Amino acid sequence: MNQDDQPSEPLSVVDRVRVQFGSLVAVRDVSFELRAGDLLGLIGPNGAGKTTLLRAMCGLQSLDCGCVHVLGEALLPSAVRVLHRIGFTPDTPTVYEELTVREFLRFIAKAYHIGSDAIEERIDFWLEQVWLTEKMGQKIKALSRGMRQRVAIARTLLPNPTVILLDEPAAGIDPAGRVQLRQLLCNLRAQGKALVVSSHILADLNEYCTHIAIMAQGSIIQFGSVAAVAGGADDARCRYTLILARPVAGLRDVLEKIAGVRGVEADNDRAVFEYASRREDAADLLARLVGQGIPVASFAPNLPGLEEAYMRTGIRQVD
Amino acid sequence: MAGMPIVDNALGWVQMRLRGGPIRIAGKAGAYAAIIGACILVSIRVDPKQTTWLLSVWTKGLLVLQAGILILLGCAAIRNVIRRDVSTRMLESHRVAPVSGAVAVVGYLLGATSEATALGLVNLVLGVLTSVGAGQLVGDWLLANAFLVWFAVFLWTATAFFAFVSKAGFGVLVIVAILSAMSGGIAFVLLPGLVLMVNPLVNYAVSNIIGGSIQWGGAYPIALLAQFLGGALFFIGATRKYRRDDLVAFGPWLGSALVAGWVTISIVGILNWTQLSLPFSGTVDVTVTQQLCASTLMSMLFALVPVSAAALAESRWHRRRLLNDPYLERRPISSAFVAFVCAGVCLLLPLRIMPGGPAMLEGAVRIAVMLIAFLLSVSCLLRICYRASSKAAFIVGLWICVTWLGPLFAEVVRFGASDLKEPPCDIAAYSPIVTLLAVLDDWAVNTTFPLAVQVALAGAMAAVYYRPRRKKGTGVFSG
Repeated sequence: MNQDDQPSEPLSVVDRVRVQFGSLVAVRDVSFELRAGDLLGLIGPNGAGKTTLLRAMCGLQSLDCGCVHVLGEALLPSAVRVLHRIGFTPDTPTVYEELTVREFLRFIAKAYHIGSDAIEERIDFWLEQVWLTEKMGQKIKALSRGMRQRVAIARTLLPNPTVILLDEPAAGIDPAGRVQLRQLLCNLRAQGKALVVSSHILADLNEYCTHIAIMAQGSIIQFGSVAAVAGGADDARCRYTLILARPVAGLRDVLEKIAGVRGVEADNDRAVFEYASRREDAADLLARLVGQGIPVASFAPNLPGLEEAYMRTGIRQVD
Repeated sequence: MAGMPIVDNALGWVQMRLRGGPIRIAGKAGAYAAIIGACILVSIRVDPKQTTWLLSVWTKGLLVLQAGILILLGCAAIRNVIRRDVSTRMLESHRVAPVSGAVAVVGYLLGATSEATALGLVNLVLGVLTSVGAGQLVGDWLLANAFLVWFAVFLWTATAFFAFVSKAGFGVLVIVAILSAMSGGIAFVLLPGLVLMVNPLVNYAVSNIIGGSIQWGGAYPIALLAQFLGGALFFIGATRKYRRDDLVAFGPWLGSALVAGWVTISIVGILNWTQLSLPFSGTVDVTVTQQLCASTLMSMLFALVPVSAAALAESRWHRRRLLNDPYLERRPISSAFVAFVCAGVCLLLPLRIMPGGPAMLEGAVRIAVMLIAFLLSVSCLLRICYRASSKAAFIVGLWICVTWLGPLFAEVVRFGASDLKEPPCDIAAYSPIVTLLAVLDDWAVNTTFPLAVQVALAGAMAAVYYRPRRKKGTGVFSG
C-alpha cells in the first residue's frame, strides 16, 4: 500500500481473518497490509464488522481463522511485548472517571513502562496536542463526551505506538476539534505510523486517508487508494441525479423501463440512478426523457467521491 | 515494571489512587486505630482489676476483626474493582497495554486490598500491645496472623479468579460457603479435602494458636500447602481470564493438576480425619465410605474442567481445519485421552482408601469402568455442544442431573407406589452415585448390568459424535 518505489516492510498484516459469533460471521476472511505512512479509512453500515476487525487487530478479539501480525510478530494472547507498538481507541472512551486527566495519563504511562523522567513531559505534550492542557487537573467525570474522547485519544497516543487503530475518533468532538483531529492524523501519518480509522464522516476520511476499505456483512467489498475507490472501478458507468420542475407520478417506473438504467432511487420529483458515463449516452438519455414529457429541471452526473463510491456499492443501510 | 510487579505496579498504583491515595488510606487506618484504641482504654478504665483478662479478650476480638477485615473486606474489594473494570470495559483498556496477566492480577490484589491491608496492619500492632498486656506470647499472636494472612491471600486469588470468570462467580462462592455452613457442617464432614482448604477457620486453628490449645499435627502443613497450590491454580486461572475472556482458565493439564490436587487433599483429609477435630464432627455421623464416595463424586465433577477444556480446544481446532486456516497449529490433545487420564487420577482416591484383597481389585475395576464411561460420555457431549456454540454448561448440567439423579428419582417413585418395606436399588444402581456406593460399601446389588448400560450410553454418545457429517454447502464430509 505504500506509494514509494521500494515498499517498506508491512507494520501490520491482516491475513484471512475470520471472526464468528455463533452462526454470525462478523468478519469474513479479511486480508490486507499496512505499511508506514498508510492511513486506512474503514467505512460501512452498522454491524458491518468494522469494530470487530479493529478489536481483532489489537488482540482483543479471538480469531476463528487467520492471523494478525504486527511488526512481524503474531498477535497471540501471550504476545504482550508487541502491545507496546499498538494503540487502540474504542468507540466509547474507557477511563477512570474518579481520576484527574493527568492522573489517568500518568497511570497509562506507568502501564506502558515509560521512564519516570519522561512521563510528565510526554503527558504535557499530548495534552497540548488534544487541547486539554487547561483541563489536566479536572476529574474526568466532569468532562464532556467530546473531551473524554480527547482523553482517550491522548491515552492511545501517549505510548507512541506504531500501529494506531481508532474507532469513531471524531464522535462527540466539536467542529474545531475535528479540524484539529484531522491535522493530528495527518501528522501521525507523516511520522510513518500506520493508522486505521473507522468513521461514518466520509468527508473527513476523504481528506486524510491514503486508503479506503468499504465493509459490509463482515467482508471488505471494496479496497484501494482513496482516488481509486472514489473514482470508481467501472469507468463506463456513473451515477446521475435528475431533478424535475414538478412531481411526476411513476417516475421510478419510467426510469426503470429505459435500457441501461440501474439502481434507481426516486421520489416523484427527484431521482438518482446509474447509467452509462459517456456524454453522448447522457445526452441521448436526456433527450429521451424530455421526449417522454418529463419536466427535467436538472440532469447531471454525480461528482466522484467517497460518498458516491459508498452509494455505488449498493449498501442500503446508511448511517 | 515487569521485573518488579509488586513495587512498581501500574494497576496496583491506580487502584490505590482510586481509593484516595496513600494519605487518605493512612488517615482511615489512623482513625480506625484511634477508635479501637479508645475502646480498649475505656474498657480497661471501667474495670482496672480485670485488665489482664480484658486484654486477652481484646486479643481474641482483634483476631476476629482481623479475619473480617482481611477476608470479608479484602475479598469484597477485589471482587468490586474487577467487576467494575469488566462492566465499564476498562479491562479492555488494560488488556491492550503491555501488562502481563500475572503483573495485572498482582496489581488488582495489592491495589484493591490496600485499605484492608492498612487496617490489618493497625490490628496487628494493636494485637501485639494487647498480647503483651495480657501476658500472652507475642509469637503466638504473630503466628495466628500469619495463618490468617496465608488463608486470606488464598481467598483473594480465588475471588479474583471468580470475578474475572463471571458476574455470578463470586456469588456462587458465597452461596456455597453459606450453604456449607448452614448444612450443619455436612459438606465439610463429607468432604475432608474441603476442610483442609478452609482449615484455619473451620476448626478454630487460628484462635487455638493464641489460646495456646492447638494440637499440631501433620494435617496442618498439608492444609497450608493445599491452600498455596490452590491459590497458585486460581492465580494462573485469573491471569488467563484477565488476558482474554475466551481463554479457558484451566487447560487440560492444569485442570488435571486441579483434579490431582483435590484427590491428594481428600486422601490426606480422610486419613487424618480425627486430627482435624471439627467443632461439629461429633454431631454428624459419617463413615469413611461415605466420605470416600462424596470425595470421589466431587473429583468426577472437578474432572469436567480439564475434559471440557480439551473438548473446546479440539472443537476450535476442527473448525479452523475445516476453514483451511493457514495458521492451523498442532492438533490439541484429545479430550478422550484427557478423560482417561482424569479417570485414572480419580481412581487413586478409592484405591488409596479401600481395604486390600481380591474384592478390592474387582471393585477397582468396576469403579474404573464407571469413571471412564461417565467422563467419556461427557467428553463426547461437550464436543457435540461446542460444534454449535461455546456454551455447554446447561446441557452438561442437565445430562449429569438426568444420569446421576434420574435413576434415584425413578427408584423413589417406584418405592412409593409399592408396598415394599425397604427401598430396592435395581433402578438406582444405574446412577454412578449408587454404583459407587454399592461397590465401596459392598451392597448386595448387582452393578454389572447398570455398568454395561453406562458404557453403552458413552458408546452411543461417541457414535453420535463420530458419525460422518456433511459440511454445509460444500459436500465435504468430516469426522
